[in-house]
Amino acid sequence: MPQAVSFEVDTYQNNRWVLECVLDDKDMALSTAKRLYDSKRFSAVRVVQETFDEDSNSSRERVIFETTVADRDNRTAKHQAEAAKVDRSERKALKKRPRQAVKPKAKAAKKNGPSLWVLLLWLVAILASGATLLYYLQRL
Amino acid sequence: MAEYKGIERRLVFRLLDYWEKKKNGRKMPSLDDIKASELGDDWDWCFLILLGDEGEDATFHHIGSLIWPADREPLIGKEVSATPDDSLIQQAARFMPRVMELGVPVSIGGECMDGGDKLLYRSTLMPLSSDDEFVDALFGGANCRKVTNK
Repeated sequence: MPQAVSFEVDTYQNNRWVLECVLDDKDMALSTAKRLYDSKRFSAVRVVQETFDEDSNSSRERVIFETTVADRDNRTAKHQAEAAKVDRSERKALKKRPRQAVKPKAKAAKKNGPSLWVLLLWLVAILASGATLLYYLQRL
Repeated sequence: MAEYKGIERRLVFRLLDYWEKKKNGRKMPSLDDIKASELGDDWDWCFLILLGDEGEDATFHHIGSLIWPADREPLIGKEVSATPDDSLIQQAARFMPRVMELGVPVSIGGECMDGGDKLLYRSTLMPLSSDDEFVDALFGGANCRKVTNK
């Protein structure tokens, strides 16, 4: 039973399928369909396998590949989600940066600074008052 | 005979891309849109056919030297039906009626005998129109390699 198989590549335009080209090679038909879809000029593309039976002079058609805008939107959404993940990780890194205690160290230094000076002042004051006390005691 | 370096599907894709680009919003490009200078080395694998009224009296306008070597009797200006049986050019042009009927490119591959060599080929034939309504010329290309019998 002799049969001829061909593959039609269709694009969806103005609410109808339009024949773009006919090939006898399935892989080439699929590649052509994907290339047309990637051109973003069509909302959908498909590949129809047509089997012509020479004995009965009749043909059978079967859609072997079809992609739509929904598929493209899903892919775009997936890419955006992946991009968003990257952004989130960058934001986390940015959040971590203040916690690296550069400023807290400065704050700690500021806190320690005044208390040390106060202690020194107290020490000086105590020594001065002790010296004054000794001076009066020697005078008595 | 031409030196066949290998069958290449990419030639067909390149020619289909070129035809698609030349459409420029129309159903199909015109004969004047096809420029040898833009096709580079691929031009030697290409051919152009002019069609008369009702698509009859198809004659060759150009045949690349890798499809029909220059040392053979020239086919330019001759009818497509005059090509030798089973030659590469005859095989590449044989689905002319289907291209004219559908108005879209058709790509076919297969085996043929040319210059004493058994060849495996892949070809494409694309419609051209000067008024974007009636197909008045065809743009084709074919690539092939020798089949070696082991």
